[in-house]
Amino acid sequence: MSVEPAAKPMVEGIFTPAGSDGLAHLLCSRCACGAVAFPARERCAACSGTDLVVEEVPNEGTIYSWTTSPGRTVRVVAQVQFANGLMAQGHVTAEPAAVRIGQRVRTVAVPVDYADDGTPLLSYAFEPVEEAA
Amino acid sequence: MAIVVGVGMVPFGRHPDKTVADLGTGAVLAALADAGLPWRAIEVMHCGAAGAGLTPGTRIGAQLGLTGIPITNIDNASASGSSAFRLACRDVDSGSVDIALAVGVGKFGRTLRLDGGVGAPEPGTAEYRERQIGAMQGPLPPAGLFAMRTRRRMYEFGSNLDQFAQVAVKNRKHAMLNPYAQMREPMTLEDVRNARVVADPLTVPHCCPVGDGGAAAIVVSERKARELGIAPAIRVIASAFRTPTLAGVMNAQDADTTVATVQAAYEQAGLGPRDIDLVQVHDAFTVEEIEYCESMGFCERGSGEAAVERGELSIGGRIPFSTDGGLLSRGHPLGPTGLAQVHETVLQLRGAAGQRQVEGARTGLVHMVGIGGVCLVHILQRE
Repeated sequence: MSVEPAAKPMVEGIFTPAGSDGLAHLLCSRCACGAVAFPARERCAACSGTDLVVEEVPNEGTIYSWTTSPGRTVRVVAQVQFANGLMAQGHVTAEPAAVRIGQRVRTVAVPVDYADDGTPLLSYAFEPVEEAA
Repeated sequence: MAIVVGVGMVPFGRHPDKTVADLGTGAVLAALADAGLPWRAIEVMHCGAAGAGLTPGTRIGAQLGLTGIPITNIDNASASGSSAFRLACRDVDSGSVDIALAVGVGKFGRTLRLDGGVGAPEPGTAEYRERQIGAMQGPLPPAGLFAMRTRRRMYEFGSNLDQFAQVAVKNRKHAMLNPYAQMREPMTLEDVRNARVVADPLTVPHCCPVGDGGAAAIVVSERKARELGIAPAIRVIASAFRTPTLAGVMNAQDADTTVATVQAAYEQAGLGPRDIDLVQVHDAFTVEEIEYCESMGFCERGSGEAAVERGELSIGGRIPFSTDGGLLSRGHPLGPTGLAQVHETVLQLRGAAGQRQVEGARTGLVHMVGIGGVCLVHILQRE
């Protein structure tokens, strides 16, 4: 008899599959000077300070631009802007024809691999919350 | 100010029969012949190369003769050769030497991972974690980032992909007149449209080719130039170098760094865009020539596409860009590219550029960007 191990992020500290509101969120750093960064930094790029805290990025953002990654399966990769001033890059869970600049997307957790012990490993991705057209 | 007295190149393309050191030696010998100087006159050498193995400059020096001079190896990605040129000029300007040499070399297939390793990183290492984070973010070839910049411009300014393709077509026309260029087959707008997609919406001709090559330049002090009877002198009247600040958003960082670097160069030279006769730009992707043309002050933001369409950036136009074919068609073996730009600019300022001569060229600007946010600008002027 086997119990399936709980899924976990492929790398810790990049995003949370279920944050304070139960939704997936990227994790960014916020410096005492106000600068935010993703992935989180230990030393601020704006002021070189080390007084940084990790916080959740808003779940929803807007596509700033997008392209496709090479390979046999065409996958959309986008830059997404968030209300806290951050821009982050990630995969989009939609076909190119269903993606456009300015589209609202939400952050979701998606299984991408398995650890040696069978634990499903999660990445983040962006899922359209509205139609492209 | 440093005076350029010799330039040389090994044509960009494929040279399977030559090592990295062979390519550098060939370029140095061509520059020495151009200057009429022997290798033993060189007092210091800087070698720019990206991922070309340990100390390529030292190996070039060993091929040319063991003279005991200081040789520094610089890896600043695409701007490695430009960085070597800057250091050679500064050595002369400091008064520490009278004759300095900059060489750049590159050979396709020699590029290591960005983190310096070879092959796939071992699980459990910091490099492995970095790669996994990269996988989550959607790994893209360099073309991917520029594809997103292109698409964003099309959204912001209502431009169309054919306008970007016109940069590739124009630079190919220039390259067809340049015996040192890698891509010299005729290419039409149709050819660009119908080529394979690399990163949507960019097809292959929107991206520069990889290849092998070498380029070199020799600079001397005012005193040495008088002694050698160099006239008219071609002076390096500005050398500016900037890395990014947080001022720009991720998508426009290179353009913003270019604004800062070009501004610093204009201030050093006491010149503005109206004083420049021709430009060699980092056109690794078509969108870049359009963006940087604006960053350099040659046209308003959002009007670069129209400037290309009107032929303003062609030889014979208002401000010719990439007169040797640019990275897109002259080629881009990384290390030597910035010195190929110097080579072209010096030929133009001498009036020795043959069919691609820009009439009356007196002042030329060269611009390179290296991955990770390195930007260098030099301005050369004939007296």
